Amino acid sequence: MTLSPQLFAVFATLIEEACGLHYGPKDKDLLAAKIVGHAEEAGHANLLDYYYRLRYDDPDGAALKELVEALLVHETYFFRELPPLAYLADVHLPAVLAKQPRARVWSAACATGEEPYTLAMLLDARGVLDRVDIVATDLSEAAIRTARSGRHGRRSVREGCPPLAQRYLESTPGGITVAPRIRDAVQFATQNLMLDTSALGQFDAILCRNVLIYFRDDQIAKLVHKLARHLTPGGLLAVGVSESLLRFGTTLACEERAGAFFYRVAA
Amino acid sequence: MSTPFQLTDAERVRVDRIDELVARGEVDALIAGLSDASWTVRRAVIAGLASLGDDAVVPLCDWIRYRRTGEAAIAAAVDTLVASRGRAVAQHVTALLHDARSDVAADAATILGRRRAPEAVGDLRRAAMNANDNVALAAIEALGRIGGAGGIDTLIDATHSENFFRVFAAIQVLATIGDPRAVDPLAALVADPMYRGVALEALGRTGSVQAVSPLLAAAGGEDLPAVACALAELVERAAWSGAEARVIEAIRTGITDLAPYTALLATEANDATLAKIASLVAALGTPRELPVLARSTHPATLDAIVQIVHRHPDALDAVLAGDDVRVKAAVLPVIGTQASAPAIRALLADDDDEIRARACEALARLGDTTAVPQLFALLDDPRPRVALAATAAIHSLHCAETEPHTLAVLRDGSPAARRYALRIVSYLGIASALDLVRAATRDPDARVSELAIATLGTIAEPSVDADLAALLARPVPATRRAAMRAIAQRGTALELLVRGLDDGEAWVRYYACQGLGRAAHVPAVPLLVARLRDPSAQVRLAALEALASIPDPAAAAAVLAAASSANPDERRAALLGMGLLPHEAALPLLLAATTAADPATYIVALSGLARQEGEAAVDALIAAARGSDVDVRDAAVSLLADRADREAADALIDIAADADDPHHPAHAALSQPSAARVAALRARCASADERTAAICAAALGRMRDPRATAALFELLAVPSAISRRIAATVLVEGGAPGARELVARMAREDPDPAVRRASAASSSGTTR
Repeated sequence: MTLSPQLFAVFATLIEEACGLHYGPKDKDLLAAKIVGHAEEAGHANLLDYYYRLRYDDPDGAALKELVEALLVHETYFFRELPPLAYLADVHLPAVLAKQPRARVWSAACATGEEPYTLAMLLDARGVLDRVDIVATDLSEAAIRTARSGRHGRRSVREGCPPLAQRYLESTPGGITVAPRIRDAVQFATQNLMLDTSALGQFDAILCRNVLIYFRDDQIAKLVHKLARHLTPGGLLAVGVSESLLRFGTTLACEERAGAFFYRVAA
Repeated sequence: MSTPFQLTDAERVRVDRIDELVARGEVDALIAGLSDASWTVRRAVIAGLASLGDDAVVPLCDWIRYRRTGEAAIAAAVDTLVASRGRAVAQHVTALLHDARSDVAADAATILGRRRAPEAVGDLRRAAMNANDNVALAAIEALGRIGGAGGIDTLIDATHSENFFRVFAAIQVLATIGDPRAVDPLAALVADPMYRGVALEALGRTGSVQAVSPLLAAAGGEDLPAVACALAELVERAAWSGAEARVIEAIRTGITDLAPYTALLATEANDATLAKIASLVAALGTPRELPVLARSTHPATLDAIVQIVHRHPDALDAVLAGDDVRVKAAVLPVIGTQASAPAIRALLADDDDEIRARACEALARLGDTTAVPQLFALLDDPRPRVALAATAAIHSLHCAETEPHTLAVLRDGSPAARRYALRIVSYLGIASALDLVRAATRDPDARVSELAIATLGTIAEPSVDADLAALLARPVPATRRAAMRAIAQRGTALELLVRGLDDGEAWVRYYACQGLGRAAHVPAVPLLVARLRDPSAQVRLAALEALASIPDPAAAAAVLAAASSANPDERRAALLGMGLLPHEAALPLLLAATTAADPATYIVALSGLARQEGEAAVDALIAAARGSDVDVRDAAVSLLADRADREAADALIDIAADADDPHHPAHAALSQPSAARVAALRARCASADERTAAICAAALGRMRDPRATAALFELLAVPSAISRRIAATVLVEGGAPGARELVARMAREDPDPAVRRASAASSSGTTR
């Protein structure tokens, strides 16, 4: 089975419609490897049959979901790109809590959960974890299952951890286990960011890091607009260090806080 | 796809008015439009004025000289003169270059540079000495854009000016001018602490083997990372002109110990610097560097490991025996030596499924038939990726042991293993498996039985037709679907296929359509046309694809009609069908589809056009290749590269020449060997301006094809001095046999002094 440029284009469109992931021509081989495996596993003789099956004969979307699941990148680790998380835990959320009883944070593409767990550890170390609701979502059901389990592979600490991690992460023969107190502090759910997210409510901070790099510009603009609607007045949005929203001319203003860059709704 | 020219109603009115003004040749009114507040409207004014040619040139020059109202309008006026089709533009703009006002003179220099006007080089050289820095900088940059021997002396002089801005600009230009004489002045600036960093970078960007020596002389201490990055850049740029091997050889000669460079990978340098250093180590490294590289987590170090192992297969076993999954996964796809087969076979039992799968693929590539029994054991692997890789490897390693093992798995294997064994029967056509396959069609596992039916269809045994007919009569939809798929594949039972068009199960109708299309069964055309109204979309699409495969007027008419369907897949299927059946009426529809809003339809239309003859089809591909959507652009460039005609090769040269990005895919497309491309590159290089000639010669150098090398030698004798000089540089830098001697002779005998000087610089040695 080969993925011709035409088939690549229609599969890429289907996947982008489903979850926003954009595949350009340079990703053709990567996408082909995933698609061919799934098509063969599903018993299709050629990729066009498989495409039609996904597009026209997948009433509950299960087959497409299975393919998308295989495409998702769950590349993350504890204490990754720490400065924005440290700023939220040390400055922003304590300031919010000085004015209101509780604060809410959304980790919008948390993969296997290392990011929200890292934030939870930092907040616990500051003694404010009990007053912060951390909602963590990801498109991948498998990733959310791993996140909920609180059991991670050794690569999840590949960049090393600060001393405080010893209080919360236990190294076992099977990998890394998150302390129950931290695990219980994060509410995990599956969520497709391309679909309606309004039920999640408002947040004092949103983390959407290292996700936008997989999206096309127009999808990024839509998603950022959507995330902005979830921010409370004065709320902060953090994106990945290699992701900048400035070229989209969004209604968000970029600010540097203690060496980390955040976006907030412009006044 | 984004549409950059979406107009508001008010803008639309103004653009329409511009069209009228252009038609009437009303230059003054159009020039007033350069001040329009809308960028889109100003672009329309620029295009209109540029199309009027010389009629608009003097008024525009006067406007730049005397009016100059507003930065946006000035920029638009400059853009207009850059794009103007007038023949006298350079002459009139050169007059502006002598204006006493520095802003006017600087604009003039910019225009001349962007027009790449070689006739203005003399005036620009004088302007580069202008007392005003802005004028001088614009002139230096213009000389860089025009390129060629005429400006290089001025640029070298500018490096001695002791004026930071001019020296800095001259360094940037010398770095990319592609003339070997640029290296010495850049090397001299390395000694100046103020310019050291930028001069090192510039030496790297020259891509010249002669830059190796001054760079290595600067290596050491705190400059080592900068030198390493410059050397990496040098290797990358040299690859662009086919001189990579010579540059690497020169660096290897100069670096006795790579350890200080490798040690940089463990420092806190930024990502881009680490990637550059890793790429240098990749180009130069030996197995000695592998342990340090394996300790680094930077992704670029994996490429370095792969490249080193590729060059030193004897290091493979140690890498494969290591416990770094990341490294093993990266290395397995490049193994090409039989000696590593035992180590790879051991990896078939690795804990990591990706490693097991890649080991299967590696063994298949090596043709290691001794692995076949182990591969059959992997058909039961819990990970489909591994079982599929093992299946593909078994296909590829087909040997005497394959058949008995396949039959054994069919008889006694798990349901999953039986499915993979059925694939093997299907792929290899193992006739002795017929009875076991027949039995498997009654397997209690539905996935096994469906695959068995499909496999039955691949066995070249006439009695199978009756089996399939019987299966088609069964009530279970999945059974009928599998039977019809097999019948469609065999194409031997047209009557069953026709009957299948009325089956109650959509996928049965779908495969029936496919079978009739594959058989090009003309009598089925009216029935297939009727299926275009099927309630199931996939059936309509299969009917459409079938009709596109049948050479029949009614089928072609149906395909053409579907090109305007509201369903994007139907439209795409029709467009694809039009490409399969070149048809006069198809061309306008395919061309119209290139305005489609979604890239998928656009790309399908382009692929249809790629199969059509004629100028209009090539023009549409060119337009797409020049478009702003990168996906469409890359697809169009690739389709142009697939064409064997001269027009497509010429178009690729134009696209590459107009692109400022050295990584534009047109460059890579041009260096794919083909007779048409060699002919087009040679012809264009012989008569082109400096920049285009450099692009053509570099593409010929990268081709590494005897026809391309012969073309470069032929270019040493053409009338154009530019072409001779550039071809000589590419041949020597690429290390073509006999080139150095021939170019050394040109250094003495060529009638053009610039060619003699450049040839002397090129042929003087690898490391100065």
